[in-house]
Amino acid sequence: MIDNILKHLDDSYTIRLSEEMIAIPSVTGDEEALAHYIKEKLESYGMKTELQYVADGRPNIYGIMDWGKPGKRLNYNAHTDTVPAGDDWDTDPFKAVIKDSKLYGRGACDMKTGIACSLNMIKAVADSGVELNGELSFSGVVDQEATDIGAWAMMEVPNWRSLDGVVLTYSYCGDETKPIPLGLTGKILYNVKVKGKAAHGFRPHLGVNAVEDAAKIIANLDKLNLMEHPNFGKGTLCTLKTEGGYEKYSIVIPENARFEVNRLLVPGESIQYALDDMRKLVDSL
Amino acid sequence: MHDDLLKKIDHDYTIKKLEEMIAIPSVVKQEKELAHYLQDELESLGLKTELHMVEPNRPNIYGKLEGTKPGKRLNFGGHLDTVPVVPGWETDPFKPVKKDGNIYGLGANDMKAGLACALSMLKAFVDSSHEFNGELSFAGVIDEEAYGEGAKAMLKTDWGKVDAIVLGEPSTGMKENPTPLGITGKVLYDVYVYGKAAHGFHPQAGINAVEQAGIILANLPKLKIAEKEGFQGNYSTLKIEGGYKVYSVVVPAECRFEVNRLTVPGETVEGVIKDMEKLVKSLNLEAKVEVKTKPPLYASYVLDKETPFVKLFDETYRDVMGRKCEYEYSSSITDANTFTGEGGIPCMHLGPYAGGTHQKNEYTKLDSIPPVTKVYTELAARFLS
Repeated sequence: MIDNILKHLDDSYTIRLSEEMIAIPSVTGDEEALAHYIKEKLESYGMKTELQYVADGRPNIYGIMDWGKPGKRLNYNAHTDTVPAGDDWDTDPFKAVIKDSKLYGRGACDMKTGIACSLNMIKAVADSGVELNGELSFSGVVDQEATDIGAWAMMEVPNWRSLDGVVLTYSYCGDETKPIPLGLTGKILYNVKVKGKAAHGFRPHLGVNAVEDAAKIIANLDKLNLMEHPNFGKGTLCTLKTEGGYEKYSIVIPENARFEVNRLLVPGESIQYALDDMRKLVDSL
Repeated sequence: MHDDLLKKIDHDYTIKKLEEMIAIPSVVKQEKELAHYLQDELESLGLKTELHMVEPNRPNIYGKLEGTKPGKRLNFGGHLDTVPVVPGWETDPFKPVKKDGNIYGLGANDMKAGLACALSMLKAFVDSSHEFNGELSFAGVIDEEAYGEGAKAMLKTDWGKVDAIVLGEPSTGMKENPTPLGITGKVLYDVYVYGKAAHGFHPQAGINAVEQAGIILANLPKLKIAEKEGFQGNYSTLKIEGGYKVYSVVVPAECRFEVNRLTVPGETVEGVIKDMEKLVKSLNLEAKVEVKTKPPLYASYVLDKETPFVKLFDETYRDVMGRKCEYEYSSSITDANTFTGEGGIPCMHLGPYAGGTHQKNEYTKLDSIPPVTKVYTELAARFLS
């Protein structure tokens, strides 16, 4: 049965679809056109499809097929958005180019070829006429490159929460350059607001300088308690941004300062743990 | 005491001019209307005036009375600009309100009351036809609350080549508010920290400019802040910015912060920059750091108590106020940093009693105004005799 499906796979089809999808720009925020393209393809294979609008003009695309037989439910997932094109391309980022056995284009790696592989597979299953047990589905979600509102929205649908397995068709090839994750870190983005007391800048002793106190916390971030995990080791910390002080020049002790720290969490470190950790650090200063 | 002159002071006129000036908003950068008002007023008193366009639409105003014989040149005045309105005023900041013996309004003490006293002193001279030698002048300059460009521009003109200046800033010479015999200078550090970008999930591959800046700021207490014979330098961080403009998980490659530093006599800009560079070097940071400065820059100054003008001010204050004047070495900045610090012209500060300076509900005590006008008048008469 499996050979029957396998012989319907067509690599040139995968490449053609990759080129077509690269030519449909889908930078985060503009995923709609690509979602419709995928919807059309899924329907052509006989899948029942659905668009779930996560935000204005930003739909997740789902496709489902089954053969009326009980069994497990497997989903092949991808994100439909790409990062912006950026500068300095040698070719047009939205026109796929094959050179030296490589396919170039925005999304060529992250991750329109993954989508194309899934579509190739689903077409092969449909063309083979094989009737599988259970359910085969596809999901294309928005916003992975930003805040994952697409994936969160998918998980809000009880039907998707009860899947038996998901294959994320990201570009992990499984060799030493890109091992396949058996686990991933979590993440918390600390948003620390520091409030001081304004005073005339010539009399700093009368105020409390929020920028200086924020800096003290930032300078002591290494005192946070990163747990050591047998497989992951420790998480990481990275201050991403800081701002504080006057908007229009004036000599005032800053009353407000703010900074953001990205923290990757290892299993065992809950969000509450991470919050308490930062609070404990601040209290100790 | 020059009673003929003092008798001619019209104290109601002083209050009236103060009210009129409060009602002319002159928040820093918008001094023009007040400058024109003062020009009209000075001319109506018979002074020769000049508007000096320091920047487009931002004039200084000068006026002078010439004495019988050549002699010394004495200038009274101060800055036209006020700070902006802060939230929380109980009354309209541009409508003078008399209440509980005070007059409320933006600029009531900083420093339209001082300007009004100067006008009133000039009127007394004119009305009494008091004979004097030399030149008695008035100056209203822009920008004191920002970059001091008004005073700097005045110093470059003939109006700035006077022998002594009295600034109507709200120093009363009383214990709670002594008048400066010297003022700190100021340097505004502008420090650039350069790191190395990398993916924020693997920060060890980069150099975090924000975190490195944080280390410098956390170690600022190690800065060599000087004290010198009553002067106290200090520092305060005014601003910081660094990190992504649009959210992305990237190790910040750049961060910038500004630190205000008040300097004492003897400290130079180069020395102050070296202080910060030495501190940075001692921290062995991975990031590259550039210590720059940005305007405004002010020189410190100290006046010798034996300076003739200072002695004359001291005696006059005592004779008029009936108490001795209290002095200090101020951690502050006024236009005297330019006139005295840069120009070498002795400058004394004296104004009526102040409350709420640079804050909401700014006011001046009404009965503190006439004595100041009297000191101005007596001082001018003695200096230009």
